[in-house]
Amino acid sequence: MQQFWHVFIAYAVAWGLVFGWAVAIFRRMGRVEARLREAGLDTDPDAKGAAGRTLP
Amino acid sequence: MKGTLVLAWVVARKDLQVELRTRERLAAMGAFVVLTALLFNYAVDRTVVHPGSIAAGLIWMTLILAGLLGLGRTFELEKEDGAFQGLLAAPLPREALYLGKVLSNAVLLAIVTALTVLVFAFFYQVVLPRNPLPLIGVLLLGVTGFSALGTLFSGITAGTRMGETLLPVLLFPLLVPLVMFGASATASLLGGFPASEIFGTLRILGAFTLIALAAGVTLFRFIVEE
Amino acid sequence: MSLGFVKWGALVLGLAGLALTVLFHWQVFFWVPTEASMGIVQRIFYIHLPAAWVAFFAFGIVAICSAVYLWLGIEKLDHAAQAAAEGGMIFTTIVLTSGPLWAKLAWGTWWTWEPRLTLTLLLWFIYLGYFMVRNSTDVPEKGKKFAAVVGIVGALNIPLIHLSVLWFRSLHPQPVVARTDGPQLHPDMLTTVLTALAAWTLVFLSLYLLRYGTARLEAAADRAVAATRSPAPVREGVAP
Repeated sequence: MQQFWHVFIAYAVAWGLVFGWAVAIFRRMGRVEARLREAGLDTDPDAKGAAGRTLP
Repeated sequence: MKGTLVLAWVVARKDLQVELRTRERLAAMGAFVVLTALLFNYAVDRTVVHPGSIAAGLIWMTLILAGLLGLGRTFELEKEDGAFQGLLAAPLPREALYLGKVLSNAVLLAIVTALTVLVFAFFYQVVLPRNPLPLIGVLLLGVTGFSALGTLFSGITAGTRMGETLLPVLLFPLLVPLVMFGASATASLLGGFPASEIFGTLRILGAFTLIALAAGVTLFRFIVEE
Repeated sequence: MSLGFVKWGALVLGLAGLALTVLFHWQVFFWVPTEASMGIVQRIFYIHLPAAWVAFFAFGIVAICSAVYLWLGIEKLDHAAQAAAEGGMIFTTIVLTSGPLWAKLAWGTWWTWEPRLTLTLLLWFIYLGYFMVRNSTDVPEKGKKFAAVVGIVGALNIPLIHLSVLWFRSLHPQPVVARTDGPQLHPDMLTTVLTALAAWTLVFLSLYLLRYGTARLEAAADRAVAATRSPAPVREGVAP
């Protein structure tokens, strides 16, 4: 039984960390987009920008 | 190249002259070494293990900790009155500045090392080998490598808010080869083994020192740039 | 790399990584035979080894990007190094948790001074130093250069550290995948570990690209906001 627990914890920690990293990245991305929107800039790097202003 | 070495010597001489007048770092490191050696007596249960029998490891740890104390202050001297800006403005290649600092640190560390070994011999009846040259070689090589890496990282920590408290975090993981091979070679020599036993160890210590020096000479300019 | 490439690259790699991840979990839990001497706990191996590979791979990226960043001073490369270091630290932590969990049951002790485990612990601390240096300077540019130096010196020393820790005798199973006389693993186990290796690498690369793109976006946002605040700069299209 102990064996199952060790395997389970190892996999849970691994996926928790990777998932946590992904969440952190997406939150960071959300913050940048909010900032850019506040500044009235486009957030999509592909778009040429309706306002005529794209990121430098 | 020759000019660089001469200039490095000028920097080192300046630092050593200042040290000779104030003796601040030497006094602090020297007192640290003696007191640490004294504390080991109480930290180790003498009925189980005699400090003399693990002397090599204790000597190296004492050395590393005392060295940290001194290395952290490498650029302290120049912090006042914008002296560091003056040094950077001087017609002096960054490599010479780095090598000079490494040299002055190595000289200080060598003095402290000699003191450490003598203190352990005195306190714990460590028998020094009849031919001291191999031991001196091992310790000098270790001291040079330690100084080469420590001076580079000390330049980094001097530019951070955390200062010297950051130095062990950066330095200790990389000192593993130095401590391991340095302590094992020292243990063999103190145990009376012939010098031919430690040639392999010396080579690795030499490689460590060379890599540290090469990295420092190449990278130092990036950490002092404005 | 343009940000559009980063976006699509991350998406494609992420989907492929996810698919392989599902596949290798099926392999690990339902398909691969149980190792005879160590039992079920050996299944930790299928995340332990790939995570270690990714951790060192990431550190390679950190070292190379740092070196070229110092050499040419291209800001992008610093972001690339930083993103890799962040991922590397995550995967190093995975190695350091799965290792002891395995060691406790396989060898009866949480920690052994096993060379590769010790090396990973030291790598974790090098990554830690990288981030501490980076975040403790008043001028960000300085922190970037300091961190790059830490990354390069760390990478230069890793072979020597490896040599040193090898010197201490090893309890670890000897390398089983990369051997000259052919792998000694059961073929199904080999398939599983290779799938896991590919899955982890793809997942890492996908998140790495995303993290890199975010860092680029942040830097661009900093510049853009600074430009809109200051009245002076005249831009094409909005020129008076």
